[in-house]
Amino acid sequence: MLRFLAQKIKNRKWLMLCLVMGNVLLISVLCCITMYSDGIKSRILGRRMEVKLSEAGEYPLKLSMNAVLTVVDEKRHTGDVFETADGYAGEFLKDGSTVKESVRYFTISSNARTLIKRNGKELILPLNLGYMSGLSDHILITSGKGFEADGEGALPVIVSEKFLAVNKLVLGEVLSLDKIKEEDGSGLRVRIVGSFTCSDRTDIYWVNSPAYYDSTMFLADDIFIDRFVDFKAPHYAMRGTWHILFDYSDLSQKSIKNILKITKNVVATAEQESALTVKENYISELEAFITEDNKTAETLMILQAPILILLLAFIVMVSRQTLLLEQGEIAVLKSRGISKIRIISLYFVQSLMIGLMSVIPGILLGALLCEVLGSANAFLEFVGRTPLRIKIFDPEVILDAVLGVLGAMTATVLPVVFLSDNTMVSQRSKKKKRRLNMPVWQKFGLDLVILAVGFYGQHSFAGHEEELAERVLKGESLDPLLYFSSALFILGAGLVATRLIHFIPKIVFLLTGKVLPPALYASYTGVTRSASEQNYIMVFLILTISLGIFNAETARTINGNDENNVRFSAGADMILTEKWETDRAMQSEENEKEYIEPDLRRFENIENVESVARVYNTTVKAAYGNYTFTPSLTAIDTEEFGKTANMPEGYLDEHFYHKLNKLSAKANGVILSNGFRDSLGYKEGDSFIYSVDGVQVKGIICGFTEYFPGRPVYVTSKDWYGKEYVSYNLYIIANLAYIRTITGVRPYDVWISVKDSTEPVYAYIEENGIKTVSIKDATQTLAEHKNEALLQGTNGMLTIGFLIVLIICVIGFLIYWILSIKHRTLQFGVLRAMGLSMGGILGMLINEQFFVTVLSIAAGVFVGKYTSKLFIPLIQVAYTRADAILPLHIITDVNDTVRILIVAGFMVLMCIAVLGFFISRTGISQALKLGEDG
Amino acid sequence: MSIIRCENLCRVFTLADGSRLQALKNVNIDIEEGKLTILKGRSGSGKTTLLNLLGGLDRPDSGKVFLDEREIQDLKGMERVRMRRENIGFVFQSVALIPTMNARENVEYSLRLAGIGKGRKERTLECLAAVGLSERETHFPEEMSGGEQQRVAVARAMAHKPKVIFADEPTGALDTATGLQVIKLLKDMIAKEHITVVMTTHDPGIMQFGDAGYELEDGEIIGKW
Repeated sequence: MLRFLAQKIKNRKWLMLCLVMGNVLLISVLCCITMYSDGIKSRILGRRMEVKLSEAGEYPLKLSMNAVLTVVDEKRHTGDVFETADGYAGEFLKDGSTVKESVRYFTISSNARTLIKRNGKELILPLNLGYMSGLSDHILITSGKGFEADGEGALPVIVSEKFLAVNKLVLGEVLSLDKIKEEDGSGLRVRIVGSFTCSDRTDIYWVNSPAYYDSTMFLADDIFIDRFVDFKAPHYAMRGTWHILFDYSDLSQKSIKNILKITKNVVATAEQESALTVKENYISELEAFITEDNKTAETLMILQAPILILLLAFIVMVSRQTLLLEQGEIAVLKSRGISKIRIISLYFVQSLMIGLMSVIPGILLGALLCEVLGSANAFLEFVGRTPLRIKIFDPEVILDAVLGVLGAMTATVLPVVFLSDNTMVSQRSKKKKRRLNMPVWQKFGLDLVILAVGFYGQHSFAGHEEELAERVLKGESLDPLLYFSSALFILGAGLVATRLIHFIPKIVFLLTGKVLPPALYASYTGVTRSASEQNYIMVFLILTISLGIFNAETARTINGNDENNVRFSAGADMILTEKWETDRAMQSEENEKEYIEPDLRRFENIENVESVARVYNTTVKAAYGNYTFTPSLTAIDTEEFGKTANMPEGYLDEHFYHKLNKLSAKANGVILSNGFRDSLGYKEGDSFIYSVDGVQVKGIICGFTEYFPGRPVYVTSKDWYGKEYVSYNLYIIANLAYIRTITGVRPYDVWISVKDSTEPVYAYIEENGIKTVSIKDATQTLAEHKNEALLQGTNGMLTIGFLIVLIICVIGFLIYWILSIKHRTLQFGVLRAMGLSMGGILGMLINEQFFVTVLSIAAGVFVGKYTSKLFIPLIQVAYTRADAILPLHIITDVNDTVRILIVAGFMVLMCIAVLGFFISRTGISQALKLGEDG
Repeated sequence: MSIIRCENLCRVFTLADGSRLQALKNVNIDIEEGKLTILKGRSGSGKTTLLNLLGGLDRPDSGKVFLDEREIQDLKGMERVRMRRENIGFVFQSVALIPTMNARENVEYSLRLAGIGKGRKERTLECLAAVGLSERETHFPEEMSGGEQQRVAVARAMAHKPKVIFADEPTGALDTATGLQVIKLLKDMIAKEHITVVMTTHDPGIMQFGDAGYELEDGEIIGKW
C-alpha cells in the first residue's frame, strides 16, 4: 500500500507540490495571526510604557503593597494579613518571566526605642531594624564593610549614608534595642558595620532612593528572616512593603491576564483589610489594552477567514483534479476488491504525509508573513520597523498548525469520499446523472438564498452605522455577523454570476449554431453542455478576483479615510505658532502691543515645503436678534490657503478653490459655516454684522461651507444644567488683509504643506533658533495611527490576503486548465484526425477561455466592486475614531484593479500558451494513444 | 484498382530512454478500392502505426504513401487537414465521440468539417438510419452503450462520403456479438456507399469477413491473402 502511495506521489509530483503549497499557505496564515498578535502586543505595550516612563518619570507597571503587622498578644495579631500580602507577592513571582524586580522590605518599628550609650549617657533614637530582600546585590559599600563583617558580639547592620548623617552616628557603634529581647531578656545589640549607597542610579530596585532609608538599620536577609519572620506567631509589630515591578517588554496575553487577576484580588483584599494598603498604576491601562487587543485579534481573525476559505477551496480543487486523474487507478483498486474505507484511508495517509511535511515550512512562512504584517504601512506598502519578537514554536502556534493540517486533510479527503464510489461500471452511470442534473446549489436555488441572506445582513446593519460606531468607540469589536454577511454576499453573488454567465454562450450558440465554423461549434457545445464541470473554476475565479478587489478597496478606504480625516482635522500638514517679538519702542499708549512680523518666506525655502499660508484665528461677537454669540473667525490669504490647507476632494458641494475665489473677490466677504444658513437662516449675498476687537464690521456673505480644514462640523457644549448637547459649529472665514485693517498686525499661525517628511522643517527651526509656541504635525499623528495594532494588522492582513489570492488564483487556474486539457487529449486527437486544424483547436480553447475565464474575471471585478460599495461603509465603522469629522468616502485605487487584471490577463495568456504548446507538441497519433491509455 | 498504397514505408520511434524502436520496416501494401482490407497482428506488431501513416495522422521517416495515386506523406498543414476532412474517415478502438454532442451532432460534425452545408441534416439522418440508431439521435454518448457509440462512430466516419475509412480495432472494446454487428455495418457501407475500409484487428474470428488482408510482425509484412 505504502509503495503504491509513494509511486502515486512520484507520478503526480506537480499536483502534490500544489497540495503542499496549499497546506503550507493555510498553516502559515493561521499561525501568523497568533504570532502577530503576540508580537505586536509586546511591541505596542512596550512602546506605550516607555512613553509613560519618560512622561511621568514613574515605573509604569508597579504594584506596591503596604501591610502593618500589629501584635497585641500571642492570639491577637494581624500576621495573617501580612501572610496574605506576602502570598500575593509570591503569586506574581510564580510566572517568573513577567516580574522584572520585586522587593520585600520589612521593618520592626512601632515605637521601637533604640538605646545607645555614648560617653556614659543614654541616647534614645527612633530607629527601625529591618531588611530589604536582595539588598546586598544592589549596593555599593561606601565605608566600612558589608554584611560579612564581624559584629563582635552584636549583630552586624548596614545603613545608608544619610542615616549616619541624620542620626549623627558613626561606624562601629553598638546600639541596644531594648524592645527587641535576646533570650536572656536583655535588649538586642547591633553594630553598624558599614554604610552604603546604590550601586547604579538607574537600578529600578530602588523604588525609593537609599536616602529614603534614614532610620532603618538593615540586617542580612537570612538573619532577619530567621529571627523575626513568623506570620503564625509574631513577636514584634512590623511594617511590610512589597514592590513588584513587571517587565513590560515581554508581556503575553496570558501573563497580562494573570497580573490583572492577582492585582484585583490584592485590591479586593485591601478594601476589606485596613491593615493592608495597595497602590498600583496599571489596572485601567492594561484592561483597556486587553479590550483593544481583543478587538484587534477578532478583527484580524475575521479578515483572515475568507483567505482561509479560499485556501481550503483551492485544496479541494487540487484534490479533485488529482482524483479525476486517478479515477482509473481507484477503479482498478476497487475491482481488486479493496474496500472503500481502505481507499479513503490511503488518501488519508497521503494527506497526513503532506500535512506533516507542511508544518515546519508553514510555521516558518507564518513567521515571515508575521513580519510582513508588522511592517505594513498601508495596503501593499511596507516600511522598515524593528522586527517583531516572534515566538515561533509556541504551543498556541503549534495548535494553529495542527488545526491547519486537520482542515487541509478534510479538504483533501472529502472529495475522495464522494468520488471513490466510482468503479469502472458505475463511472458511466454516475456521469449521466451529473450531466443531466444541475449542481445542487443551482437546482435548489441555494445561490439565490445565500445572496439574499447576505443582502439581508447588509440591509439590517445599514442605517445603523452610528449605533455601530458608538459601540466600537466603547471598545467592542464589530459584529462578526457583518463580516459573515459580506462573505456570504460575495459567495452568493459569485454563484449567481456563474449561473448567469452560462446563459451567455447558450444564447450565442442558439443564435449562431447553424453557421458557426466547426471549431467554434465544437467549442460552444463544450462550453454550454459541460457547465457543471466549469462551475468550480468559475466560482473560484469570481471569488478570488472579487475578494482581491474587496480587500484592496477595504484597505484603501480605511487608510484613505483615516488619512483624509487626520489631515483635514489638523487643517494642514504642519501648523506652526511662532513666538513673536514685540517692539517695545513702538508700544502705544493704550498698552496695545506692537508686534514685529517675522519673515514668512523663510519657511517657503525649506526642503520639502510646498507652500505656506498665514492663518489668523480669533473670536468675534455677532448678534442674531436679541441673542449674542461668539463665533470663531479665521482670516486667510485665499490663494496661499487654498494651496496649503488640506481639503480632500469630493466632500464639498463645489470645489474648495471655487469657494475661496468667491471670498477673494470681495474684500469684506465672509464664508460662513452651514450652521448659519441652516439654523439661523442666513442667505448668500446677505450682509453679516460682527465685531472684531470691539469694532463693528459688515461682512458680505459669499457662500457657506459644510467642511473647512481644521474646523469640526459640530461642537459639543454644556447647557445651564451641565447637560451636554451637540450643535452646529459656527465659524466665519474672512480675508486676512481686510481683518488686518481692523486689528493691525497680530501673531498668526503658519500653515505649512509638506511633501514627504517634515524633518527638514524641524531641522530648520532648530538651526535658526526659531522660538515656537506650538507645532502641530499631522504627519506624526498619521505615523502614530499606522503604528496601531489594528490598522497595521489590517493593512498587513489585507495585503497578505490580496497576494495569496493572486497566487492561488494563478496556480489554481493553471492546474485546472492543464489537467482539463490533459483529460481531453483523446478528444482533441479525434477532432484533429477528423480534420480540425491546430488553429481550430486553439480557437476552440480561446473561445472557451473567453466564456469561462474572461467572463468570470469580469464578473469577479463587478462582484468585488459591488460588495465594496455595500459593505465597506459598514466595515469601516470598526476603525472609527472619536475625532473623525469627514464622512466616509469609498476610496479606490485604479491601480489595484489594474494589478488584478494584469495578473489575470497574464494568467490567461500563459494558460493559452502552455496549452497551445502542449497540444502542438503532442502529435495526433500520440494524442490518440495517450487518450486511449488514459 | 488500388486506392491506397505505400512503398518502402519506415517509421522509427525514439523511446523515453533514448533507444530507438523500428516500428515499420520497408512496408509495401496495396489496397483495393471498395474492399474491406484487414491488417492483422499481435499488439506491438506495427498495425496501428501503419494505419496512422496511411490515414495521414503521422508522417513516415522514409517511403511514400499514395491516396488515389497522389503522394500524401509530405502534405503540409492545411492541405493535410483538408485531405483528411474530405477523403478520410476514422473509427477508433476507444469510443471517441465528442461527449458534449449528441448522436446526431456527432455525425453532423464530420459534415461540418468537410464543409458540407447543403443536405446536412438529411445525410446525417440517413447515416444514423444506416447504423440503426434513428431513435437515438438526441442521445449523448454517455447515455448509450459501447456498441451503440461505436455504431455512431461508424455513421460519423461515413457521413461525408470519404474515399477510405480507417478503423483501428473497432471491435476491440466490444463483446463478440456487438463486434460482429459493427463489422456487418462496415460491410454494408462498402456495398452501399462504395467506400474502402482498412481495419486493424487481432481477433481471428473477424478475419474471415475481410476481402483481403496483411499480417504484420515486428514492423514487417509476413503474410498476405
